[in-house]
Amino acid sequence: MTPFFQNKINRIWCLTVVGLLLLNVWNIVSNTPMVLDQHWAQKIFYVHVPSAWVGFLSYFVVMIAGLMFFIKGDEKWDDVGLAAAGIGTMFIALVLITGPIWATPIWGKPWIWEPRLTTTLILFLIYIGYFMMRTFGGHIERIRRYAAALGIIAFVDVPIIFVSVQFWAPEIQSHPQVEMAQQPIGILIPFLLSLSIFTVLYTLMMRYRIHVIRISNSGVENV
Amino acid sequence: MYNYFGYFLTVYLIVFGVIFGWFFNQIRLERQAINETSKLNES
Repeated sequence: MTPFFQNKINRIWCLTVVGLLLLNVWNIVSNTPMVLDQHWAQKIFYVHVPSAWVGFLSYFVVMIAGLMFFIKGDEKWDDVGLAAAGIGTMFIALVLITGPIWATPIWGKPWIWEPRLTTTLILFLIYIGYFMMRTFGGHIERIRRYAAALGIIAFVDVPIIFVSVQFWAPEIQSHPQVEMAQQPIGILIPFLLSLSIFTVLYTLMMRYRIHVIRISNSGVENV
Repeated sequence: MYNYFGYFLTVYLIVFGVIFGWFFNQIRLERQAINETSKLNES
Protein backbone atom coordinates (compact mmCIF):
# COMPACT_ATOMS: atom_id res chain seq x y z
CA MET A 1 0.00 0.00 0.00
CA THR A 2 1.19 3.51 -0.79
CA PRO A 3 1.27 6.45 1.65
CA PHE A 4 -2.01 8.40 1.78
CA PHE A 5 -0.51 11.69 0.60
CA GLN A 6 1.15 10.13 -2.46
CA ASN A 7 -2.32 10.21 -3.99
CA LYS A 8 -2.85 13.57 -5.76
CA ILE A 9 -6.57 13.76 -4.84
CA ASN A 10 -5.75 13.30 -1.14
CA ARG A 11 -3.08 16.04 -1.30
CA ILE A 12 -5.53 18.46 -2.97
CA TRP A 13 -8.22 17.50 -0.43
CA CYS A 14 -5.82 18.17 2.47
CA LEU A 15 -4.70 21.55 1.08
CA THR A 16 -8.36 22.51 0.56
CA VAL A 17 -9.15 21.62 4.19
CA VAL A 18 -6.16 23.64 5.48
CA GLY A 19 -7.27 26.61 3.35
CA LEU A 20 -10.87 26.32 4.59
CA LEU A 21 -9.75 26.12 8.24
CA LEU A 22 -7.60 29.26 7.85
CA LEU A 23 -10.51 31.03 6.14
CA ASN A 24 -12.79 29.91 8.98
CA VAL A 25 -10.50 31.33 11.71
CA TRP A 26 -10.05 34.59 9.77
CA ASN A 27 -13.84 34.88 9.32
CA ILE A 28 -14.51 34.21 13.04
CA VAL A 29 -11.85 36.69 14.21
CA SER A 30 -12.65 39.53 11.83
CA ASN A 31 -16.26 39.21 10.63
CA THR A 32 -18.34 37.91 13.55
CA PRO A 33 -19.98 40.38 15.96
CA MET A 34 -18.62 40.84 19.48
CA VAL A 35 -21.36 39.80 21.95
CA LEU A 36 -21.48 42.35 24.79
CA ASP A 37 -21.55 40.13 27.88
CA GLN A 38 -19.10 37.50 26.55
CA HIS A 39 -16.64 39.41 24.29
CA TRP A 40 -13.99 37.07 22.82
CA ALA A 41 -15.24 34.11 24.90
CA GLN A 42 -18.39 33.93 22.72
CA LYS A 43 -16.20 33.11 19.69
CA ILE A 44 -15.30 29.80 21.38
CA PHE A 45 -18.81 28.70 20.34
CA TYR A 46 -17.73 28.62 16.63
CA VAL A 47 -15.35 25.70 17.26
CA HIS A 48 -16.99 24.17 20.36
CA VAL A 49 -20.35 23.37 18.70
CA PRO A 50 -18.84 22.11 15.37
CA SER A 51 -16.54 19.84 17.44
CA ALA A 52 -19.64 18.43 19.17
CA TRP A 53 -21.37 18.02 15.79
CA VAL A 54 -18.39 16.09 14.34
CA GLY A 55 -18.23 13.94 17.49
CA PHE A 56 -21.93 13.01 17.30
CA LEU A 57 -21.77 12.49 13.52
CA SER A 58 -18.83 10.18 14.08
CA TYR A 59 -20.74 8.15 16.68
CA PHE A 60 -23.63 7.92 14.21
CA VAL A 61 -21.16 6.43 11.70
CA VAL A 62 -20.00 3.96 14.40
CA MET A 63 -23.62 2.86 14.85
CA ILE A 64 -24.21 2.45 11.09
CA ALA A 65 -20.89 0.58 10.74
CA GLY A 66 -21.93 -1.71 13.63
CA LEU A 67 -25.26 -2.49 11.98
CA MET A 68 -23.57 -3.12 8.61
CA PHE A 69 -21.01 -5.38 10.30
CA PHE A 70 -23.82 -7.56 11.70
CA ILE A 71 -25.75 -7.56 8.40
CA LYS A 72 -22.84 -8.10 5.97
CA GLY A 73 -20.31 -9.73 8.31
CA ASP A 74 -17.54 -7.84 6.49
CA GLU A 75 -14.58 -6.73 8.62
CA LYS A 76 -14.24 -3.57 6.48
CA TRP A 77 -17.19 -2.20 8.46
CA ASP A 78 -15.24 -2.83 11.66
CA ASP A 79 -12.42 -0.66 10.23
CA VAL A 80 -14.95 2.11 9.53
CA GLY A 81 -16.40 1.78 13.06
CA LEU A 82 -12.95 1.86 14.67
CA ALA A 83 -11.89 4.92 12.64
CA ALA A 84 -15.11 6.79 13.46
CA ALA A 85 -14.95 5.85 17.17
CA GLY A 86 -11.41 7.25 17.48
CA ILE A 87 -12.17 10.51 15.69
CA GLY A 88 -15.50 10.91 17.53
CA THR A 89 -13.88 10.42 20.93
CA MET A 90 -11.16 12.95 20.09
CA PHE A 91 -13.78 15.58 19.21
CA ILE A 92 -15.95 14.80 22.25
CA ALA A 93 -12.82 15.14 24.40
CA LEU A 94 -12.27 18.56 22.78
CA VAL A 95 -15.89 19.48 23.63
CA LEU A 96 -15.34 18.44 27.26
CA ILE A 97 -12.14 20.52 27.41
CA THR A 98 -13.31 23.65 25.56
CA GLY A 99 -16.71 23.77 27.28
CA PRO A 100 -15.28 24.29 30.78
CA ILE A 101 -12.78 26.86 29.40
CA TRP A 102 -15.75 28.86 28.05
CA ALA A 103 -17.79 28.26 31.22
CA THR A 104 -15.09 29.59 33.59
CA PRO A 105 -15.59 33.28 32.70
CA ILE A 106 -19.29 32.95 31.72
CA TRP A 107 -20.75 30.74 34.48
CA GLY A 108 -18.04 31.56 37.01
CA LYS A 109 -17.10 27.88 37.36
CA PRO A 110 -15.81 25.33 34.84
CA TRP A 111 -18.26 22.49 35.49
CA ILE A 112 -21.87 22.15 36.60
CA TRP A 113 -23.57 18.75 36.91
CA GLU A 114 -26.40 19.74 34.60
CA PRO A 115 -28.09 17.34 32.10
CA ARG A 116 -26.26 18.13 28.84
CA LEU A 117 -22.79 18.13 30.39
CA THR A 118 -23.45 14.99 32.40
CA THR A 119 -24.90 13.00 29.46
CA THR A 120 -21.97 14.10 27.23
CA LEU A 121 -19.50 12.95 29.89
CA ILE A 122 -21.35 9.59 30.11
CA LEU A 123 -21.03 9.17 26.31
CA PHE A 124 -17.31 9.92 26.49
CA LEU A 125 -16.86 7.36 29.31
CA ILE A 126 -18.79 4.72 27.33
CA TYR A 127 -16.28 5.19 24.50
CA ILE A 128 -13.34 4.97 26.92
CA GLY A 129 -14.86 1.57 27.80
CA TYR A 130 -15.16 0.81 24.06
CA PHE A 131 -11.40 1.31 23.56
CA MET A 132 -10.55 -0.66 26.71
CA MET A 133 -12.68 -3.49 25.37
CA ARG A 134 -10.93 -3.29 21.98
CA THR A 135 -7.53 -3.42 23.69
CA PHE A 136 -8.20 -6.15 26.28
CA GLY A 137 -11.21 -7.97 24.76
CA GLY A 138 -9.43 -11.15 23.70
CA HIS A 139 -9.95 -12.77 20.29
CA ILE A 140 -10.24 -10.34 17.34
CA GLU A 141 -13.51 -11.82 16.04
CA ARG A 142 -15.15 -11.45 19.46
CA ILE A 143 -13.81 -7.90 19.80
CA ARG A 144 -15.35 -6.96 16.44
CA ARG A 145 -18.78 -8.29 17.45
CA TYR A 146 -18.71 -6.64 20.90
CA ALA A 147 -17.45 -3.34 19.41
CA ALA A 148 -20.26 -3.32 16.82
CA ALA A 149 -22.86 -4.02 19.54
CA LEU A 150 -21.42 -1.37 21.89
CA GLY A 151 -21.31 1.21 19.05
CA ILE A 152 -25.03 0.64 18.40
CA ILE A 153 -26.02 0.77 22.09
CA ALA A 154 -23.83 3.82 22.85
CA PHE A 155 -25.60 5.87 20.19
CA VAL A 156 -28.77 5.84 22.32
CA ASP A 157 -27.08 8.52 24.46
CA VAL A 158 -26.71 10.98 21.51
CA PRO A 159 -30.43 11.89 21.11
CA ILE A 160 -30.66 12.05 24.93
CA ILE A 161 -27.90 14.73 24.88
CA PHE A 162 -29.80 16.70 22.23
CA VAL A 163 -33.16 16.64 24.03
CA SER A 164 -31.67 16.98 27.52
CA VAL A 165 -32.19 20.75 27.40
CA GLN A 166 -35.97 20.22 26.99
CA PHE A 167 -36.24 16.87 28.76
CA TRP A 168 -35.16 17.96 32.26
CA ALA A 169 -36.58 20.87 34.28
CA PRO A 170 -35.42 24.36 33.14
CA GLU A 171 -34.23 25.18 36.71
CA ILE A 172 -31.39 22.66 36.49
CA GLN A 173 -30.29 23.73 32.96
CA SER A 174 -27.24 25.90 32.40
CA HIS A 175 -27.21 25.68 28.60
CA PRO A 176 -28.96 28.46 26.66
CA GLN A 177 -32.57 27.65 25.74
CA VAL A 178 -32.35 29.73 22.53
CA GLU A 179 -32.71 27.79 19.24
CA MET A 180 -29.92 28.25 16.68
CA ALA A 181 -32.41 29.61 14.11
CA GLN A 182 -33.16 32.48 16.54
CA GLN A 183 -29.54 33.66 16.48
CA PRO A 184 -28.77 36.89 14.55
CA ILE A 185 -27.69 36.34 10.94
CA GLY A 186 -24.19 37.70 11.72
CA ILE A 187 -23.68 34.76 14.10
CA LEU A 188 -25.72 32.13 12.25
CA ILE A 189 -23.91 32.31 8.87
CA PRO A 190 -20.31 32.04 10.27
CA PHE A 191 -21.55 29.27 12.57
CA LEU A 192 -23.02 27.26 9.65
CA LEU A 193 -19.82 27.90 7.64
CA SER A 194 -17.70 26.60 10.53
CA LEU A 195 -19.98 23.57 10.86
CA SER A 196 -19.59 22.78 7.14
CA ILE A 197 -15.79 23.20 7.22
CA PHE A 198 -15.49 20.88 10.25
CA THR A 199 -17.62 18.32 8.34
CA VAL A 200 -15.24 18.50 5.34
CA LEU A 201 -12.31 18.09 7.76
CA TYR A 202 -14.07 15.04 9.21
CA THR A 203 -14.37 13.36 5.78
CA LEU A 204 -10.62 13.78 5.24
CA MET A 205 -9.82 12.43 8.72
CA MET A 206 -12.08 9.41 8.22
CA ARG A 207 -10.54 8.59 4.85
CA TYR A 208 -7.01 8.88 6.24
CA ARG A 209 -7.73 6.90 9.43
CA ILE A 210 -9.38 4.03 7.50
CA HIS A 211 -6.35 3.97 5.19
CA VAL A 212 -3.94 3.73 8.17
CA ILE A 213 -6.04 1.00 9.88
CA ARG A 214 -6.09 -1.07 6.66
CA ILE A 215 -2.29 -0.76 6.20
CA SER A 216 -1.81 -1.85 9.85
CA ASN A 217 -4.21 -4.79 9.41
CA SER A 218 -2.53 -5.93 6.18
CA GLY A 219 0.75 -6.19 8.13
CA VAL A 220 -0.93 -8.30 10.86
CA GLU A 221 -2.66 -10.56 8.32
CA ASN A 222 0.67 -11.28 6.58
CA VAL A 223 2.19 -12.74 9.79
CA MET B 1 -12.27 40.75 35.46
CA TYR B 2 -11.62 37.84 33.13
CA ASN B 3 -9.19 37.96 30.19
CA TYR B 4 -11.73 36.84 27.57
CA PHE B 5 -9.18 36.92 24.75
CA GLY B 6 -6.94 34.55 26.72
CA TYR B 7 -9.77 31.99 26.99
CA PHE B 8 -10.52 32.37 23.26
CA LEU B 9 -6.85 31.92 22.31
CA THR B 10 -6.44 28.89 24.61
CA VAL B 11 -9.43 27.11 23.04
CA TYR B 12 -8.30 27.75 19.44
CA LEU B 13 -4.74 26.64 20.21
CA ILE B 14 -6.02 23.43 21.85
CA VAL B 15 -8.53 22.56 19.08
CA PHE B 16 -6.22 23.20 16.11
CA GLY B 17 -3.20 21.83 17.99
CA VAL B 18 -5.03 18.55 18.68
CA ILE B 19 -6.19 18.29 15.03
CA PHE B 20 -2.62 18.97 13.78
CA GLY B 21 -1.26 16.44 16.32
CA TRP B 22 -3.78 13.85 15.10
CA PHE B 23 -2.52 14.18 11.49
CA PHE B 24 1.10 14.06 12.67
CA ASN B 25 0.33 10.85 14.60
CA GLN B 26 -1.39 9.26 11.58
CA ILE B 27 1.66 10.01 9.40
CA ARG B 28 3.87 8.34 12.03
CA LEU B 29 1.57 5.29 12.32
CA GLU B 30 1.33 5.00 8.54
CA ARG B 31 5.13 5.04 8.11
CA GLN B 32 5.50 2.47 10.89
CA ALA B 33 2.90 0.16 9.30
CA ILE B 34 4.39 0.48 5.80
CA ASN B 35 7.89 -0.29 7.13
CA GLU B 36 6.62 -3.35 9.04
CA THR B 37 4.68 -4.64 6.00
CA SER B 38 7.66 -4.20 3.65
CA LYS B 39 9.97 -5.98 6.17
CA LEU B 40 7.49 -8.91 6.35
CA ASN B 41 7.29 -9.07 2.56
CA GLU B 42 11.10 -9.12 2.27
CA SER B 43 11.42 -11.96 4.81
